[in-house]
This record gives sequence, C-alpha cells and structure tokens, in this order.
Amino acid sequence: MPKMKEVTYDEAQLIISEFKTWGTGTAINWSQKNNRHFPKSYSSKNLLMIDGIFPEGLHLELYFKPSILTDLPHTFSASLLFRGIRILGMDAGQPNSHINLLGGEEETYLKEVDHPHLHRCIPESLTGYAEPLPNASIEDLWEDFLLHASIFEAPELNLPDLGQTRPLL
Amino acid sequence: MNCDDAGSLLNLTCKSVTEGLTFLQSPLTLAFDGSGLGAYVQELGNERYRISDNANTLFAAQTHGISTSAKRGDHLQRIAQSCQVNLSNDGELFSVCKAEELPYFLARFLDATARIGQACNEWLPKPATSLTRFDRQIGSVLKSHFQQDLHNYYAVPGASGHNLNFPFALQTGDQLRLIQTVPTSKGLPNWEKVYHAVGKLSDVRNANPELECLTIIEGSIDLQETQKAVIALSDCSHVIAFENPEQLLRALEA
Repeated sequence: MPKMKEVTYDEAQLIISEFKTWGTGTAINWSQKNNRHFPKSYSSKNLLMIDGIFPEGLHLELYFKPSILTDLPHTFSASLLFRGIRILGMDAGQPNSHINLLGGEEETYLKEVDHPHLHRCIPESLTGYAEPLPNASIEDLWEDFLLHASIFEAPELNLPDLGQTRPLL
Repeated sequence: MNCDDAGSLLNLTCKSVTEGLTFLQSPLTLAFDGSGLGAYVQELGNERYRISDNANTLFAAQTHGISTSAKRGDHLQRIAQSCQVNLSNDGELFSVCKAEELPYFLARFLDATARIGQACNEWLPKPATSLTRFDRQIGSVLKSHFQQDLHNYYAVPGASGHNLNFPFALQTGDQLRLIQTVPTSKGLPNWEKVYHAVGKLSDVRNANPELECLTIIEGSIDLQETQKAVIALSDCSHVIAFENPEQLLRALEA
C-alpha cells in the first residue's frame, strides 16, 4: 500500500457524515482468508461513492468468522476504513467487553462496553473508543451501522453460506 | 480448583456462556483495539480444562486491516509457544491443563494474547505521519518561492472514478499544475514509485487531458536508470530530474 496522508479527526468526521452510496454491485461478495495460523474468516471489501467519485482510500470492509467452539455465536464486524484507519466500526458476537481507556470527556470513559458495540472516533483518537449498541439481530445491526456511516443504497446483508444453521447472536 | 476459583485468584471476571463453558475477562486490553483480553474455559471432565480464545484475538486484528501471511502466522506461533500456548492452523489460541494448573495456564494464556496483540499492532496499516524525505526537500523549495500558490496534498478525480492525491499543486492564476514526486531508493530510481506515479498520472490525464502534470524525480547515481524512469514518466507528465533547488526553480519558471 502506498503511504498516505495522515487522517485528521475533522476529516474522519466529514467522511463519516458525507452521503455515500454503495459502489460494488447489488450483493455482498465474500472471500475466505486462508493463511496458516490465522482464522479462516470471511471478508468483503466494498467501494463507496461520494458525489460520483470513489474517494482514494475509502472502503467498507465486512468480516465474518464462524465460531470454532460449538454452540457459540458467529462473529460479525464492519469497518469503515479511510486511508487504512478504521474510522467507524461495529463488532458483534463476542463475550468480551471493550474497555474505554480513551475519551475522558465521554460518558463511557473507563467503562466496559459489551458486544454489540460501535467504534467511533473522538477528538483524542481515531480508534480505541466504543459505545454500546442495543442487542439486535445481525441484520438490524447492519442497518444501524449503515445509518451511522451515512451509507445508502447498500444491499441486504447476505452472510457466507456455511452449510449449517447456527444463531448469529 | 475450579474455574471461578482460578478467576478469583487472577482477578478475572467470570461470565457463564453455556453449561461447562465460562468466559473469563481480565482488565488488560488488546494493544490496538481496547477489547478486553479474556479466555474461554471449557470443562473436559476428569479435572481437566481447555482454555481457548475461539480465534477472536487474530480475528480482531484482521478487522483492523492487518495483512496476513504464513510467515506472520509462524511468527505468532513462536510467540504463543514461548508462553506454553498453542496456535492452531485456524488461528485459535488454546491450551489444555489439569485443574490445579488452571491459574498458571490462564496467566500464560493472557500473556500470549497480550504479546500477540502487540505484534499485530506493529503490522497495522499506518498512514505516513509526515512527508517523505524527498517530499520535504521539494516542499521546502516550492514553499520558499511560491508561498500562497502552493497546495499540499491536492486531490483530483481520475477517469477510474477514484479521487487521487498529489503531494503538491501549484495554482498560478487560472493555471493548475499537479506535481508528483518520485524519490530514489539507495541512490537509484524507486521503480515501485515510478509505476505508481505513471498509473496515477495516466488516470488523471485520461479524465482531464488539459490538466498540466509535472513529475519531479530525484536524480540518481545511475544516469541511465534515471533516464529510463524519465522515459516511463514522460508519457503522462512533464518531468524534471531534480539536481538542486536553483535548477528546479529555473525549470518551473521556464
């Protein structure tokens, strides 16, 4: 990846609030990562359009990991990446909490935030701060994330076909 | 020693997940994310336990955009092994132990998770925090002469539909000149950057044939190699082979 200009908080906020439309077809295409000692997760990289342009370094990446342990929910994650930085993200399906060590001015500073949660940038840092989201189905969380990210005309969420039916949350 | 006892010893929070499966969370966090470090502890019977992260540690790293490779996987496996923890081919950290060993192996497990998080932190994509050496040099020459007419990081849409960033642009009156820089590497033209510049400039020129584009390539120790790079770049932009500030300003005024 070529080196890119550092992202500022104002720039990240502007990119998040800009009206963005889906730019990668009518369905989410998943590909499986398959490197030794890394999770066999699925990912999908999608382009977004602002005013008819695909801005350099702006992508929406989705990740899905089937649980290895039985009877546990699968894990789903969405990342709005700008120049390689996750300026907005959503994580669902894990039992561990996120601990906000950043964001002294924020309500959830030093608090534990369970899944599902939304990562958003704060003036202090572009990453590392999360806020809770209400428990919901993965499809509803996807719709919520699109609203937070100002993304329109996105397809309905289609998850990788695992050949099994296990609850997602 | 059961799971709750072991958790209390290490000041971990216990969450019951399913029958025989507990999640223990520590106050430690992943280096790059703020996610609490923890471990699933599964009763296997006969006073034995299996500790696992369900591959969530490395999945979190993937969601932050780290690129994965078998070489990196092998490196992480060595880190895990140094903490007496296994890293499976599916990215799951796990260990199996007897009941009385649970506090010890939980501590080793969290140690492995923290160290692996630290290693992944080093691999996260990082944008440049400052201009490159050659960009700084050219920027300082341009700034000294053009002051208000100089823009840093100017973005222009290309024919592909992508918005493309240029390190500099000069706006003199109605005329806009996009400036791309190409540094040397170890005294020779950096061909990766040459081809990157050619692709970017071609894309911009295809969308804006009238736009003036200029590439400033750093002079190298091999004149022939520099000339080859200039030939490649001159198909889509004017090119100046940089020697010194005076020569650059003369060329720009010409």
